[in-house]
Amino acid sequence: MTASITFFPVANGDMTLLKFDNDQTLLIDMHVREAADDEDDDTPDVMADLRGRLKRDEKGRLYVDGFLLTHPDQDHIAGLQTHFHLGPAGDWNKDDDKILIREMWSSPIVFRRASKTHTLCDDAKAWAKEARRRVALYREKGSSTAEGDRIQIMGEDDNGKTDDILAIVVKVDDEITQLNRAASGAFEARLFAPLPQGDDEELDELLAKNRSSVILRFSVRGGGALDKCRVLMGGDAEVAIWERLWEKHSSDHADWLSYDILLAPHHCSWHSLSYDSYSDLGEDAEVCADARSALAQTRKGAVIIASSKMIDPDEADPPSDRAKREYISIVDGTSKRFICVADVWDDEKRPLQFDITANGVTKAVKTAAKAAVTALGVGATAAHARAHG
Amino acid sequence: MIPVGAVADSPAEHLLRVARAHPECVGGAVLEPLNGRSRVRVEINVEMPLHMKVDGVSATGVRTCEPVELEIPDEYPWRSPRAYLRTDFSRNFPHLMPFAERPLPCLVDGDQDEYFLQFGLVEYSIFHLIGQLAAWLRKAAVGGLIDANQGWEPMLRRALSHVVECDADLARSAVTKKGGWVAWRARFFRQGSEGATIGTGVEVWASSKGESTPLIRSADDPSFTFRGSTGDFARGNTVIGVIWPDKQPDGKPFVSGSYMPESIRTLGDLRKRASELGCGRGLTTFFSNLERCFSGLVLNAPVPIAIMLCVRRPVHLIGTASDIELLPYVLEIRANPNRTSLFAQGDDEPVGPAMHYQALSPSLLRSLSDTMAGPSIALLGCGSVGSKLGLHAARAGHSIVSVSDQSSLRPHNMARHALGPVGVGRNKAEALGQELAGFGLSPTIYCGDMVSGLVAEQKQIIPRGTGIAVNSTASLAVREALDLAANGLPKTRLFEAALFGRGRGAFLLMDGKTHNPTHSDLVAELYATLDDPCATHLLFDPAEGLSAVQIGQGCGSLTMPMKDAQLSVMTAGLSLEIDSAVANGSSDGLIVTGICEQHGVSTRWSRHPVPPFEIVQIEGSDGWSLRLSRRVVDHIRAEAKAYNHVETGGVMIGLASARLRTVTVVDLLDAPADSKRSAELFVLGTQGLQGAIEARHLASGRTLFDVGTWHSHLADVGASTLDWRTASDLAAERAPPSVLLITTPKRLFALMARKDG
Repeated sequence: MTASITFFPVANGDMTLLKFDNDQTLLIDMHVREAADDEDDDTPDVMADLRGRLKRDEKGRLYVDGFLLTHPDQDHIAGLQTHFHLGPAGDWNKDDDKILIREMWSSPIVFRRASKTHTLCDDAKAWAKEARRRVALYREKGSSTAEGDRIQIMGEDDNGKTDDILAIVVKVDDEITQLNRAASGAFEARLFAPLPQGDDEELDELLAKNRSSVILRFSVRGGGALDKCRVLMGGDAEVAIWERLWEKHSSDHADWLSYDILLAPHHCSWHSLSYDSYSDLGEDAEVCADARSALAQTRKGAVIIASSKMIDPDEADPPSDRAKREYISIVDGTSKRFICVADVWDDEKRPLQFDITANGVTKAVKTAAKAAVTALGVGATAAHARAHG
Repeated sequence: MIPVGAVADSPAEHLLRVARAHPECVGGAVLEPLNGRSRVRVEINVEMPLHMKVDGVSATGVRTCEPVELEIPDEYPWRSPRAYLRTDFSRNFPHLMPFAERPLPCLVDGDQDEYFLQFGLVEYSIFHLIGQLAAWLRKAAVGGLIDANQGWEPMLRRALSHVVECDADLARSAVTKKGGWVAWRARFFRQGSEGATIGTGVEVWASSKGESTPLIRSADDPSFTFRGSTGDFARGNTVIGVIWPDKQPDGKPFVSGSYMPESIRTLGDLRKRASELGCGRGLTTFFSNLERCFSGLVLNAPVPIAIMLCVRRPVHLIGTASDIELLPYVLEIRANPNRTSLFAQGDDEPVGPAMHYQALSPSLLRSLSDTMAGPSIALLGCGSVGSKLGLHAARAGHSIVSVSDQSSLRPHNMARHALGPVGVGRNKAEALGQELAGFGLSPTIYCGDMVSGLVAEQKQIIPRGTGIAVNSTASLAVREALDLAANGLPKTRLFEAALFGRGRGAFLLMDGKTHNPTHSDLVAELYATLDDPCATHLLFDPAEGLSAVQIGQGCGSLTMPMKDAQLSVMTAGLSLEIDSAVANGSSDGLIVTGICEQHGVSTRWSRHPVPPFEIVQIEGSDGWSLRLSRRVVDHIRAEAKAYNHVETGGVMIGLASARLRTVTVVDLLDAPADSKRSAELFVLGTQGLQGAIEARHLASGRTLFDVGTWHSHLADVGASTLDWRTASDLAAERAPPSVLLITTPKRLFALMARKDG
């Protein structure tokens, strides 16, 4: 199967599907607003689209091989309970027909006690509960857990809660090569964050905001050829994280951050590029050079994607028009190489998809039938059967 | 969204407007007409990998925005617009018409006009055509017009005016690791005046069977001739030079992995191209041999010759296992007096790229029929059924090794025979044999009487090693003669195909692997087991059978009146059933019946496998044997087992043949109620027996009758004195053989007494 990456139109939120050339699928975050599930509402029905892209297993269950939650905010997890099966795989039922998550990829934040200052939304709580169920099952059964019970933890827990389950923990700076226990070479993904916090109090404070996001750089195989597409995605990680990553890797491993596709952090927020307030300083607000460098390791022809609302200079950040301009400068000033998912929906009425083949990364075009329906306004496949004489 | 069906504007404006609705069409304009034809330019967005897109051009030279000219043909919208790429578009692509002045991509698999017309509305057609165009360009951008997994796409050569016809496999098998050439004898047809040239209206068709010729010319050598006939049409003998690439200096095979435009126009072009493909030395050597062959000779007219370059590709060609692509060309030699070369214009001599047509051969027919090579076939009977089965087999690329029929084609046969009136008056086998010769087959022809021939001249009728023999004579005598001959045919599977019920019914018999069951066994089995009332009616009702048809004054023929189409429907089914039985390869015998509904062509085919018959030599007879259907033996054994303390028995139903010396048992009647069973004796009663026998006889269309009785012995001993006496009594009672069968726990015994015994 052709590998691909698809960014769904979910306004200010993230929802990305990676399909690998070995047929495996990895969903990264989801943001299904209630309106998206309403047939009479114009909000894109991203779940119907997603479901159409997934396969069913031998028991008739739709599934994703993996689901990565970068961090447990509403705009990255909304709709989980409505659309995904949680709890033992054996409890899946046909009438609900929810999607089975064969393997969860979760940050260790699920081990934290509830915070008084930061209330998790219900879907995030459900995610944490399911993750804890799977970890407990792993503690009991070890690696014999079945599809639907599996989990990998992205980074070690600071308080040692993952010390006894290191076999399912990916350490920062290490690479993930398995998805649902299959290591087929279809991808490698290096984990950059969440960063361990250490003792540096000041830094802790800096990192506190949106510090929990998982940051991964994928290298995806296309048509059997390795490393055909590099994708950098970091949830809502903010400027201090990116600055820190550049400090850490620029001298020896700048290449680790290189990409063909960057998902602009935090829905194209200015605060991933700068410590300054744009609303206070306007154009005097300065870009943090190191954070920018961390986000500017482009490969030839690279594109930057904003998973956000349409970008309007007069509206509140995110998305930020100033950030957009900075990203365009990163892609050699070529505005066509900065793509907002909401604009694609507006133009083409579909998610933004790139196919990954041995030739490289190519923006997918509409299928003939879909294009005809949009353009001609009728079911335009009314072709005559072709007989032969 | 554009309004469908609104055609207020001109065709060009309309075309542009619809094209612009396509998401990949990003611009365009109506152009000035060219040669009276309207034109539109469309700009197509070509998505390509990001690292190429940033440069605006792909590695293969396709731009991210490609201008394409759509030319509207005079017959539009009955024909599709033609899409021309910019003139500097690289020609090194497959699916790019090689001869067009402007690059013309081949957008669809098949006929573009048919593609265009398959949509009900012109808007859809235009829209999808733009889609195909964008898809073509996207593939071209990444060199994806060839899918290496599918294979190498051969250079498009359709719609050329010249043809070189030969067996591709033969040409490919000439290719050796070392480079070289071979000249093949060929025949040519040439259309055009003698003064005209390849470039100025001459069209050539050269065909060869692949016989090589040494290119040594002697006075009586017919290798090159020119015989003009009516008008500007001429034919004669010539050669095809088959040329393949030299090895590379490092000893590796010369592989040509890139597409080159088919732009050959002159001998100079051809020499250059041959060099690029590693065939330069071979071509030069072929030409110098040709010159030497003509040395000192003068030929008054031009003779076309053909060149076939055999080019090695990096992967196999689509649809074949071979990696050799054939590139054929034609040019003409003129052996004028005082010439310096056979090619009057030297390197400017016109050369025409040609299409390759596969010569008519079994492998071509098999690939068209999507069949594998089957067993060789002997046809017994070349009547309407036989001739059609024969042509079906020949067209599927099967080998027919013999055809036999004693009778001649007469005018009335033209109502249904596969052959046309040309053959009337000739022997049917001869006429069919000649038809088959056109398919490259050379069957043995046998025109004698098959019944005696199967004894005296068996190899004429069924050559040694023949895979299957198909008897379609509908002759009882031939059926039995074939049964008798079967022992001498250990490798041949025997089939009988016939129609009945005025063409509404058909049956096919296939004997067992070691000729058991035989066709006679199978016919008896068919009579006994046919339970479809419609089939029974068609097979047994005299009104549905053969009838005399007047075919001349005072002259009748015993045949079945029916339409040719009906006969073809059933015979085509029989042909498929033969293929299916052969493919199945079961060692059992097989009965297939087909029944066509009364009004219409729906036909039910049913298959009924028949395991080998049990054969018991009949004691006291003159070499007769008893042949029992497996069903009957199983029934007898089961009943004997059920009466395990007393003897039991019953009446055997079947057929007898004095010629084969066989009694065939295919059914049983239960012992009458007044029969007596004891440990020592079974006495067959008589109550109602005669009536039961008659009823069975009638039910089988008066074919099956009582052929004897059976009874069981509790111990493994054969006939007792009493049994022999009973046999003798039975024989005295009537003419038909009456067999006494004894079943013991382990084996079967049979005996028969002569009437005089």
